[in-house]
Amino acid sequence: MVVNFLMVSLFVFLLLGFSLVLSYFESRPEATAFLKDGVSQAIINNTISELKGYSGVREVKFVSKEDALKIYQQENKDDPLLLEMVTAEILPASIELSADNPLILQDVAQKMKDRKDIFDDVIFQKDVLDSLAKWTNLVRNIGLSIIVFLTIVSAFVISMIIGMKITLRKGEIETLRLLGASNFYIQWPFLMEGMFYGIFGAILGWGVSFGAVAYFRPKITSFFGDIPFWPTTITPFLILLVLELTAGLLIGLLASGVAVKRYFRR
Amino acid sequence: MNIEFKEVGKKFGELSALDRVSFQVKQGEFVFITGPCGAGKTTILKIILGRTRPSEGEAIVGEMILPSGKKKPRAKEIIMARRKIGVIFQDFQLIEDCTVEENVGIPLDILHIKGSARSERIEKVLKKVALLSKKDFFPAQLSGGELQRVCLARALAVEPEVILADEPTGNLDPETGWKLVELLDKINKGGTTVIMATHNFDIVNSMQKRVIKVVDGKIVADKKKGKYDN
Repeated sequence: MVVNFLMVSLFVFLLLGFSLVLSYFESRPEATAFLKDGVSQAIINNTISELKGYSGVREVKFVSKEDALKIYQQENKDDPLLLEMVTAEILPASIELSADNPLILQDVAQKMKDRKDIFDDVIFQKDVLDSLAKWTNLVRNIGLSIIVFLTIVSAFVISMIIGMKITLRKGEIETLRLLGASNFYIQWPFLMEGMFYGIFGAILGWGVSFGAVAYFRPKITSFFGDIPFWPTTITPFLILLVLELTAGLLIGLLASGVAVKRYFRR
Repeated sequence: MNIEFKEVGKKFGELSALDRVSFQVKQGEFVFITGPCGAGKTTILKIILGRTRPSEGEAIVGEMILPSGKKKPRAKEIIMARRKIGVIFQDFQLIEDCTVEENVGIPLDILHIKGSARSERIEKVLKKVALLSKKDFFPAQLSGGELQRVCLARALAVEPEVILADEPTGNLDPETGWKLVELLDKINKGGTTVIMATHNFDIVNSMQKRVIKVVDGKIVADKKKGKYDN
């Protein structure tokens, strides 16, 4: 049960992170168009004006070769090997474009791609988004399959354990029956035990995964930089805890209920 | 609580345990059910407790009706009847993990009697069977006679209308067995019906109580002040 909820928590945290990254990119549709070497500044300025004229285009920014070198040096300042032999001449100038929504950006990006005399390549964020969405779906599907499998196994294990405990105490149960105990009086402790296993598994699984998240958070945050990968408040994690506790309780109750019904039907 | 058997028969497969047994026991009676081993004594007690149903005829225990055939008694009737019946088993059937006090308190827990009412009742019945000093002992720490007295205390805790005792002296030495039966007699004088299955002829012959003799599943004698060999 603990492993089950550990996997649930980890996958939910992962999916939460991916969703946040997806939302981040979706809210900042961007494209980068790399300029061919030799394009004159006049043509570049005309192109920028033309792009700014499109409806829905939020910002158009020219990044010169020198600017590109500064950005490259900043990003790789901890790796001197990557800085060797790299000059401004090697790096292309580019125009960075941001729009209000991905559809507008798609149109504009296509127009830029058609200007093969000016632009060498256009990287459209949609490719990144598609890749990210694909990975998110994959993680979701794999996660769901694993979780369903583990839930069935956990419920089966709880049912077996409760069943064994009932069998071990069958003498006691018979005595209680002869003393006038109702079925509910006899069954309730076993149902409670099943619920306890579920709740305990949920708390421990959530706790371990939350601990792991807290431990790795600084590393992952520094990897993603400005892109948010974690929620800024603890609320989503607490909501997940409540949901897992409820699920644990229900799975434990159901599993022990099956064991109890099987025994008392005999 | 009156008990009545009307032409009750009981078969276990091909074996006939009871054959058209009819008798009545009124509230407050003390009845011995005697007979050799396998005669059907325990089967009669099992039917009274609702542990098994008649194959023929009908048994009425207070408001619980145990019919034969496909018609089943209502579960609630059986539960309510059992709560008015105290049982002393030959093999004690105490819970090993529970102390004397906890074992005696089980029927009270079933009836949701809690707090001081529960404590007072337990103390009262343990005093009656002279085991108050051993209330924190576990069954493994007690002798056979003491275990049987714990069973009696458990049976008395709910202030039953009927006490069923199935060979209660079977595992006891004669002196302890006598003490137990004297205790049952004292309880009977307070108005509780006592039905005791036994093949201890000394006790039966000395007590001068009603004796129902069962042989091969049939009642062969039913005497008001009977002897073991009627």
